[in-house]
Parts: sequence; C-alpha cells; structure tokens
Amino acid sequence: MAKQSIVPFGPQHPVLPEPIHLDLVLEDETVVEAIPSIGFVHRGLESLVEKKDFNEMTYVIERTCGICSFMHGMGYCESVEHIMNVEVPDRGKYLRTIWAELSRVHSHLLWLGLLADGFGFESLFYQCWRMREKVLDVFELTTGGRCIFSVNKVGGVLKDINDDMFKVMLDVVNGIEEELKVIKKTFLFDYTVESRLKGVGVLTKEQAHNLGAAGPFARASGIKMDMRTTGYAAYKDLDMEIVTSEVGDSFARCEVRIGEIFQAIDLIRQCIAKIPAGEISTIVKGNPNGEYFMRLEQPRGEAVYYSKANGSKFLERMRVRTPTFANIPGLLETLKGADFADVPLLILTIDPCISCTER
Amino acid sequence: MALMNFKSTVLKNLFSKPVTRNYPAEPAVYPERSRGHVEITIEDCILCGLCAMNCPSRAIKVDRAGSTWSIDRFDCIQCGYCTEKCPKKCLHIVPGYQEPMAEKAVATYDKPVEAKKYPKMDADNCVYCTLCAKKCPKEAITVDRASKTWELNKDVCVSCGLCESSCPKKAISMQAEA
Repeated sequence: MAKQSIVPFGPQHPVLPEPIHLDLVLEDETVVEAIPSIGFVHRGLESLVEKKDFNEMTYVIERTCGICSFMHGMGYCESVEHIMNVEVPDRGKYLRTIWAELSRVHSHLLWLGLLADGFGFESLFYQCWRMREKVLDVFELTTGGRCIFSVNKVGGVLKDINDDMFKVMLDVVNGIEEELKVIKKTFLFDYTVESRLKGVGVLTKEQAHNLGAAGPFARASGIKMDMRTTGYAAYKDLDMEIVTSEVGDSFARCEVRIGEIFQAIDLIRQCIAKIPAGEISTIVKGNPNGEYFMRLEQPRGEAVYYSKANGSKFLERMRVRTPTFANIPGLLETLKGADFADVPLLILTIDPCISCTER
Repeated sequence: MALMNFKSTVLKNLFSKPVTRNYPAEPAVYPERSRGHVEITIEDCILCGLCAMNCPSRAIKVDRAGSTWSIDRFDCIQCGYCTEKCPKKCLHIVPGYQEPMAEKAVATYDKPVEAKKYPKMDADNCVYCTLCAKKCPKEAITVDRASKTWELNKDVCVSCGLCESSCPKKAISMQAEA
C-alpha cells in the first residue's frame, strides 16, 4: 500500500466563495477518501421563527442565501399558504414563476463563470458574469433589489410587473440567449475545456440515486427528476422538458446547466405570453395552524421547506433541506479516485451553496 | 476548429466599448423601484409604532413621549415591511444607498410640535348663546349675553376644540397664534 497523506482543503480556498472543509486522504496524487466538515457559517436562522412572526419570517428566510434568495422566500410562503388554505391569484403565481426562472438564469450563469474560473479560463468567466449582470439589472428594475428581492409575502407578491418592464425583460433574455449560443460553443466544443471536464468525477445513475443526489447534479447522471414537473406556482400551465444527460461526468453537469438556462429563458417567454391580468395577492387573515412540506426546484436542486404552526403568530418549527446538503455525499463519491488537481473543479460541479446548507 | 471557438468573442471585445460604467465620473442610475433607504414624511407620522414593532431587524425606534422616530440605517435591511405596515403611508423606500461611515449612526427625526391653537370668535356670526362656555371643560370661556361680550382665558384653554364643534352658528374656529 502506498503511503497515505492528509491534505486539508478549505475552509478558505481560492475556488470556494464560502467555507467548507475537506480532509483529503491522498495516495500520491490520487484522492482515496474525502472527509467533510461543515458548520462554519451557521447562523441559526431557522430558530428565529420563535422570535419573528410568520409574516416577518419571509424576509428572514429569503436572506438564507444571496443567490437562491427568491426561491427560499417563495418556498416558505407557499408552505404557509398551504397550511392556511390560501389560494394565490394566478397573476401572483406567474410573477413568482418569472422571478424564479430569472433567478435560475442568473444562478447558472454565475456557476458557469465560476466553473470557467475554476479551470483557469478567466476571459470566459468575465463573459458569463457580464451576461448575469443584465439579469441583475432586470431584478433591480422589477423588484428594487439585485440579489434580495423582498417581493414575496404570504398570500402573493408585493410588486407587479408592467408591460414596459416585460419588454425590457424580453429584450434582456433574448440578448442573453443569443450571447449564450456563442459562449456555449466554448464550453462544449473547446479542446482545453473538454480536457479539464470530460471523464472527470463520474457519478453513475445508480450511485446518484443511492446517494440521494438532487438537481442538475443528479440530472447529469441520468436521473429524470425535476420538482417543477409537480406543477407548483404556474409550472402546471407551462411546457417543459427535463434536461438530462446520461454520462454523469463534470462535462455533462456543465451541459445540463447550459441546457437549463435555455429552458428557463423559454419558460420566461411562455409566462410573459400567458400571464393573466388581475390581482397579485390576496388578503390573509388569522394565523396558520398545521404543518406542510413544500418541495420546489432551486437552481441547485430540490429544496424542502417544512413549516409547523400552532395557531399563534409564531411558527413552531421551520426547516429547510437544501440541495447542496443532499449533494455532499455524491460529491464525496466523485472525489474518490480523482486527481488532486481536479478537486476544486469537482467541488464546483455540485454548485455548492454553503450558506444555504448551514443556514 | 475546436481551438478557435472563442475567437469571435475575443474580436468582438477588442473592437467594442467597455461594458462597465466609468464610475464615479458617470454616476450610477437607479431604477425607480430601487430599494436604497427608508425615508419618512415625519409631518404625517402619528408615532403609532407599528413600523418599529414589525421591523424584522428591529432597526426602527419610535419614542412617543419625545415625539421622535429614529432608524439605525446600518441595521435596516431595506425589506420594505415597514412601508407595508405604515397606516399613514408616510414611510417610503427610495433609491440611494446608505453611504459608508466610520461608526454606526442612528438617524433621528423629530415630529414638529404644532403651535398651540386657540378658539377665535367671529363677532358677525356669534349669537352669544353661551353653548361654548357650557361645553368648555376648563371654563376658559366667559360669555355675557346682555353686554354681548365673549372672552377667552388663554392660560386655562387646553385647545380641545369642543367649543368649535359645539357652536351652532360655526362662529368659532381654532387658530394658531401668529
């Protein structure tokens, strides 16, 4: 047996914007095992339900993370709305769907940039983030915030989007689609990119299933699972095909996420074409009493929002299961047998969001 | 050729303007909805304290005794929940972010104390019915029907306005002293 050495990876590392620590057990340059430790950015947001009433909690939950903030707020509100049997007006549902899909576009563009940065293609990273900036401008135009939107409330949304804003939004997503078609060629057909991604960190369909992987990470291994097909918000009225790949390597994960950006842009167009006129929110009276599991598809995968209420204005329990937490076992599996130099890249391919995971 | 995929992007970038703004020479333009900071129209505020009670980060403090409304701008998270809760709609979120400071500072707004108002009698309309004098809780008004005089003791008056509302001829109006 070759001599084993342990190399600490993180919590501070150039490739990691957020802290996660891995102890990498190496045999020469090959990883044999990775032992994770998390909890560096735990803030105890869930326990704030005891101090903030269920309406105020919307603003706390959406601050769980800066990238998937909108969908955190949306998932929480939908869970409380289900407990209280509140039916959100159709326009409110469509607006939520539009902002959710725009969030997916910006999250995936951010990830593509980070991936490009991870494999050392700086100019490609700038191209991706330049596109993402336009999405953030649309968010600021429509909601007033660039990362934290604060437009969700129990019973609907707080702000409407008018026709002029929809026009700007359409122009932006059409522009991004055109630009991405060009950039996509570099990601999918470039020799240097292929050499860093193809065949690296393969996770088979069976492994992904057994380890409970979620989101694009699981879909790249051939698992056809997307919570949007369950038809929450306005997704039941929209046509969508789940983007999957059978290969399961880092390249497939990149391919799936690029496919999902095009899919999200298509969904935004469908929403804008179909959005009905009318109210954006409904008046909610009383306090919730009961419990509900809300499942929705975050950019990183399936997130679960559990709310338990006891009839008072404070919830008894609020819990979020985030996709990154589900993907960590899958990540550890892909790290086994990987080259030491590929470890940063492999960590990136699950699109880790540590502040969501640790809350 | 697989190696030249990025060529068109490189050429485009070489011959195009920078995408970034030349800040601060060219100032940033914020959209109308941009959530910069909370502003208050203090004249309309009734110091009910609903904003302070509902603020998720507890950045707002309302002092009813001292007639002040204050906000710690570094604690404020610009969520806009106070503007939703304000019954008088005197709170607004406006563009323009809080400027950096060396220390956390609380911005305090004093609700202007209105000048005391006193009843003023219009001699053309008054019929000296004495109803105002009877309604006055402080007996500040003295009316003599015989000599047709109407007098007010300003030291005693509490500006309640009951005389104004009780006058059948609408001869009394509450007016601030010049």
